[in-house]
Amino acid sequence: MKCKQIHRQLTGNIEKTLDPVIEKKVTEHLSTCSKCFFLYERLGETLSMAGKQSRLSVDPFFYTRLMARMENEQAPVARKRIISLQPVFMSFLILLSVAFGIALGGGTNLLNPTSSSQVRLENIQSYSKQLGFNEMDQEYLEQTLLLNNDKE
Amino acid sequence: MQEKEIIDGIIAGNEAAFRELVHRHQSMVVNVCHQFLQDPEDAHDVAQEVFIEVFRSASRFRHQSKISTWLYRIAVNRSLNYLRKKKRHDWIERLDDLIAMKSFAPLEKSPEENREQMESLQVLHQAIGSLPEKQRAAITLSFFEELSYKEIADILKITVSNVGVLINRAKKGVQEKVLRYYGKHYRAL
Repeated sequence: MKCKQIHRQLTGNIEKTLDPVIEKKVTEHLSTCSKCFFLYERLGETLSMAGKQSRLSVDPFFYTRLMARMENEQAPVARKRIISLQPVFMSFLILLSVAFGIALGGGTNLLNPTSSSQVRLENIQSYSKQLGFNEMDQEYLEQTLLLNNDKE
Repeated sequence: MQEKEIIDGIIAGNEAAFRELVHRHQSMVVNVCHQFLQDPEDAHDVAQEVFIEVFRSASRFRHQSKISTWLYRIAVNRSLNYLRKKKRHDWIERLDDLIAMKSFAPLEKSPEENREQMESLQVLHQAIGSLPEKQRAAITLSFFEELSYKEIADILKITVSNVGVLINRAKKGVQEKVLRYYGKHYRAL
């Protein structure tokens, strides 16, 4: 058997899974070829390392760190929700302030849509009287005072 | 606590059940991830992702297999995804860790023999790391976790005969790469 053919059988020879006839040929070749014997030994050593690797010891705080990570991953989700709801909330606030402004500007009409314009006018006049804002009334008073002065 | 109780507990939001699951399987999950990633920190990181996935998808577990099989499957998939994302196939970097004895049980041998063994281990990981993903998963579970073909078949969701095919191909691939590596050394000697 040539070296290349032997190389294909090396793992089988290490694992003792070869046909006895082939195994005999491989063993004979290995006893005469130093390179193949070197490779056979190195391959055997390499494959045997699989069982020799020690188990990694787990971090004693593994569970604590896991829980911390889970909490951290949940927190940004809640924050993202708040951030995504922010435009909706802001729009609602704007609409609310616009509606409040209209209600304030519209006086009782918006708050009490059933009231007629006559009632509104009367209300305004009565408020004006109470506050002394009626210019006609002020004018009348001034004219009376002037007339009195003239008489004197 | 039985496996079903643990899963039902996790679905119900019982933290004690989740803690029990983690304590039972953390060593296995961390070590499977470590076999693929060859980095203790990365292994712990991915193992955490495995348990987070378990916590989130416990309701989808149908009790048709053991929890350990399910965990193995998630650990293998997560580890391969991690490698794919990070593209960290530079196994030469890992040599520093191996030399630092982070993942190798010290044997009572001469420094020269230890150095040779560490080199062999590194060559083995390098050879396995260069295999196609399915072959790598199958041979890692067989070589390092020493699982049966049936268990590997359940984890990878393939037939037992396919596991045999994958492992045979993987062994050929490993043999070829190891021989190529030491063939160059022989010439240098």
